[in-house]
Amino acid sequence: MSTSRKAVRWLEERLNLTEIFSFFTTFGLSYGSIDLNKPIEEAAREAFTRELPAYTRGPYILGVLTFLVFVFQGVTGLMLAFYYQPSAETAYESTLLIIREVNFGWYVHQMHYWGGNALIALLAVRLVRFFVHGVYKAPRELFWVFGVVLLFLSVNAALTGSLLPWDQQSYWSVTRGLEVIGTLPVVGYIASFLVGGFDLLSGTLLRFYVLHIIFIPLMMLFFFYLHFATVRRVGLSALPGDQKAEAKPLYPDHLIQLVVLSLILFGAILTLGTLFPSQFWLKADPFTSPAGIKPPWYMMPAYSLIELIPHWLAGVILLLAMLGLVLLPFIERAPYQELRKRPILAASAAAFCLAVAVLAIIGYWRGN
Amino acid sequence: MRGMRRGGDTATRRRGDAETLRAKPSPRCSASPNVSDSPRHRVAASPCCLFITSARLLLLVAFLAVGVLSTHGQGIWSNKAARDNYCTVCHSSVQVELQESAHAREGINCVECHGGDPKAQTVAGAHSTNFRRTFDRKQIVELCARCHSDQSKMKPYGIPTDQHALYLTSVHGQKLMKGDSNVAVCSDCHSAHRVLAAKDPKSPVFRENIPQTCGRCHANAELMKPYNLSAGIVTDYQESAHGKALLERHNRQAPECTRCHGTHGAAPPGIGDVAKVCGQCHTKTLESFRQSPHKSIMAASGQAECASCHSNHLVEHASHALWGSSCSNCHAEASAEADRGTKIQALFVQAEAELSKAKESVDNAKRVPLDVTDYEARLSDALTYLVEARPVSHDLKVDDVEDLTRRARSIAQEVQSDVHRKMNVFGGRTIILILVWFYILISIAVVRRFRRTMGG
Amino acid sequence: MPEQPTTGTGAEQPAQPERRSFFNRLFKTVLGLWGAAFAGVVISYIKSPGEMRSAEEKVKRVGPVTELEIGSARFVAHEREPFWVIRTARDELVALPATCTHLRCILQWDKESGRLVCPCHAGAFDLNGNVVAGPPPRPLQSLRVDTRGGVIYVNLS
Repeated sequence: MSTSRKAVRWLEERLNLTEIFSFFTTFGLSYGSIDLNKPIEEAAREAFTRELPAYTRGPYILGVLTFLVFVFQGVTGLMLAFYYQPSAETAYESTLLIIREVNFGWYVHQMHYWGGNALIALLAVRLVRFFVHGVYKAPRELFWVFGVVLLFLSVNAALTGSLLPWDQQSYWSVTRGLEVIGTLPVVGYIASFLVGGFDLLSGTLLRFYVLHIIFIPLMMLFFFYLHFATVRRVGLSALPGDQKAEAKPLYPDHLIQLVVLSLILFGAILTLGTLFPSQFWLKADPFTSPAGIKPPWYMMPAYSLIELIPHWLAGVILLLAMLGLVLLPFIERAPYQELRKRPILAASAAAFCLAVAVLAIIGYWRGN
Repeated sequence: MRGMRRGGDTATRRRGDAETLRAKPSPRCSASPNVSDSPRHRVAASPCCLFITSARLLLLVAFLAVGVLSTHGQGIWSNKAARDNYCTVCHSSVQVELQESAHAREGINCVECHGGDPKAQTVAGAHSTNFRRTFDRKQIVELCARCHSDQSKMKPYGIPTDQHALYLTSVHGQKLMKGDSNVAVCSDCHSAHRVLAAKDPKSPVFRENIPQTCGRCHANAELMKPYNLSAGIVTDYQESAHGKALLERHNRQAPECTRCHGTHGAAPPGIGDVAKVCGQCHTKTLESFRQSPHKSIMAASGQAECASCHSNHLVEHASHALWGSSCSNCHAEASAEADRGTKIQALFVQAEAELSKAKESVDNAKRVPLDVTDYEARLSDALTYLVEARPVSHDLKVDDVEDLTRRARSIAQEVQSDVHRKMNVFGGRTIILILVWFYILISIAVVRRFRRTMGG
Repeated sequence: MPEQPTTGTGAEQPAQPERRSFFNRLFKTVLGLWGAAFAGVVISYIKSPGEMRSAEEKVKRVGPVTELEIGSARFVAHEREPFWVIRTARDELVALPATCTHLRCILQWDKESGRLVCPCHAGAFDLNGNVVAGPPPRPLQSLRVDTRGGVIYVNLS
C-alpha cells in the first residue's frame, strides 16, 4: 500500500495525474467538475464519494454503456487490424485467416461485428428515450444534436466496416447501402468524394478501411467528448415527474452497477455472436451478383423507400428526415418535457416510427 | 455495369461475324444434295441471324454469290485433268460428287474406273474404248483393290494395302465370294463417287457416322432376315453407354461398331475372344477376369464372357446392381455363387454410402464455412480406391474387393469424423457461452454482495 | 458460494471488518479473473502467427545441385531465416545464415575472396562461419545441408 502510494507521489511530482484522471471522467465516468490543482488522491476521493442523483442507473446508464461499447469496438478493432490486410487480393484471405487460424480470431471477429450493431442500437434507443423524456429542451439542444450525429457516424462506421471482409454478402450489401447514400442530395456528393466514387473498386476498399479505422472513430471520439461536455455544463436531466432520485456516491454504488450492466452487455454480445454469427460467403466477385442480397438492417427502411418511389424524391425525403432529426430541438421549443402534453409531436413521432417499421418490413418481405 | 453491357453487345456482334464467316463455305457444299442443307439451315435457324443488320445481310448475300461462283469455277476448271474432261458435259451431277472426293484431289477421274475417252466430242466416241457403265458388286471390290492393294501407289498416303485381303476374310467378303451379292462392298460404306477420308466429318466412315452407316443395312429387318440377324443392334448400341458417349457426348475414344468387329475384316468376335476385345480398353478388368473361375468355365461352356452379364450391344453403364441381378442368369438363386455376388454388391453399396455421407458432411462444412480442401483431397483418394475396386471385382474374389472398398470406406469415415470434430467447435462454442454466462452471474452475485457489505 | 464463511464465522460473532475484507478479496478475485481472462485471450490472439510459423516447413528445398556451379553461391530468401548455399566442391555444400551477427544486415557473397561480407560495417565471415574481419561479435552457425536425389535441402530447425 505504501509502495503504491509512494509511486503515485513520485509520478505526481512529475506529471499532473489529476488531469489524466479527469480525462477518464470526461467520457461519462463521472460528470462532476474536477479541480485540476488538487492532488490525485484527493481529486479521486472527491469524485468517487460525490453523491450523484441516480447517475449510472436507470436510463442514465445508457450513455456510459454506449461509450464502453465504443471502447470495446476500439479494442477488438485494433486486434483485428493486427491480421487484416486491406486490399482486394488479400482482404478475404486475411479475414479467413482471422476466423479460422488465429486463436480466438473467430470470437474477436464476431464480437466486433455484433458490438457495432449494439452500438447503433444503443445510440438509437438513447435517442428514443431522449425524445420521450424531452431531453432536448433548452439548454440541452446540443446534447441531442451530438447524439444524432453520433448515430449517423456509427451507421457509417458499420457500413464501411461491413465491406472489409470482402465476401459476396458484404460486397453486395454495401453496394445496396451506398445506393441509399448516393441518393441523398448534398450528403451523397460529399460521401462519394470521400469514398472516391461509388463503384466498389479495390481502391475503395482501402478508403473504406481508413475511414473505418481512423477517420470515423476519431470523429466519434470527438463527438462523444462534446456530448459529455454538454452534460458537464448543464448537468443531468431529471426525469419528468421523478425529481427526487436518491443520491448515492459514485463508488461503490454507481460503479458496481456499471460493472454489472457491462458484464450483462458483454454476455449479450457474446450470445448474439455465438448463436447468430455473421454470414461469411465466398470471396467478393464484382461480376456475379447473388440473388436476394439485402442492405444492412440499419439501411433497410431507407432502401425500401428508394425502391418504392423515384430516387430524387426519396433522396429529398431522407435528407429532410435526417435534418429534421438533427434540428428537432430548434423546431419543437415548447417549454414542457412530458410527452403527453405534446400530442401533435407524439402523434407525428409515432407516425414516423410506424413508417420506418413498415418500410423495413416491406424491404425484408420484397425479396422473399 | 454499363461496361459489362457493352461487353455483351460486342460478344453478340462478334458471334454474328462468326456466323457470316461460317456461312461462306456453305455454298461449296450446296452443290451436293446430301449435306447441303445442314450448315445453311443452321445459319438460317440461328437466333444470331436476327441480330445481323440489313447491311450485314446484304454482305452475306454477296458472300454467298461469290462463294458459289468461285467454288464452281475452281472445281471444274482449275485442274488440268478436269479441263480435258468432257464427261461433265452430260454427267455434271456425278462430276460434282467426284470433285469433292479425295480421289479428285489426286487427279483420279472418271476414266480411271469407267474407261472411255474423255476428250471425245461425240457421245459414242466418249463411251468407246474400254468403257464400262456399271460394275457388278464383286467387280467393285476388285476395282478398288487394283490401286488400294498396290504398295507403291498407297505408300505416299500412308494407307495400308491389306484392306482387300482383310475384306476377303470378313463375313461380308466370304459371302460375296460365295456369290451372295447382298453383302456390303467398298462403295456401300465409302460411297461410289464421293469417297472421303475417314477423318473427314462428312465421311460416312467418320467415327461418329459409323453406327448410322452400318445401320443402313444392319438396322433393316428385311435385309437382316435371311441371315437370322437382329435388326435392333444399332438402336441397342445407341442406347448403350458406349453409344451415348460417342453420339451424345462426342467422346471419340468411345468405341463404335468397328472397334469390336473390325473395319474391313468385319466379323463378330468369337466365344473366348469377347473378353480380349473388351479388354483392349478395359485392360484392368480383363486382367482380373483372367484370374476368375469364369474365364475357363465360360470358354468351355461356350458363353460370351463379358456379354453374359453386360450384354453385347446394349452395354449399359455398369452399376453394382448387376452383382445382385446377373449371377442368377446362370447360377441358382440361393447358391454360394449367387451369394458371393450379393456379398460383393454389399461391399460396393457400403463404400458408396460412406462416401456419399462423407461428401455430404464436407459440403455442410463448406457452407459454415470451414476450409475443406484437405477433406476433398482425401475423398478423391477414397473415390480412387472405389474406382479401382470396380475392375478388380471381376476376379470374383471377395477379399480383393473388400481390401479396396475397406480403404475407401475407412478414408470416408475418417473424413466424416474429422469434419464432425471440426464442426463440433460450434457445439463447443455453445458450451463456452453457457460457462461464460455462468461466470457472469457469479460475478454479478459477488459484486452485488460486495456492495451490500460496503453499504452495511 | 459466498454463504459458507458467513455461517462459519459471521453468525456467532459479528466480525464485521473480517467479513468485509473477505468480500473485498472475493470481489478483487472475481474482477481479477475477468482481467486475466481478457489478457489471456488478447495475448493468445496476438501470439498465434508465431505458432503458425513454427508449423511451417522446417526443411527448405533449395533446388537441384546441378544448377549451382562449383565455387558459386545461391541466396535463399526464406522469410524467417534467409541463408546462403555455397558449393565449394563437387560434393561439398555449405549453408550459412545470411544475417550478420552484428546488426542483422544481409550478408553478400564475395566470389573473389570466397567470403560472406557485410555491406553495413565491412564484417566478413569465412566458409566455416568464423569472423575474419569487422565488428561481428559471434561466428555464424552453419546450417545442415542434405542432398537427396540431386536436390539440395537445408535444415532450418
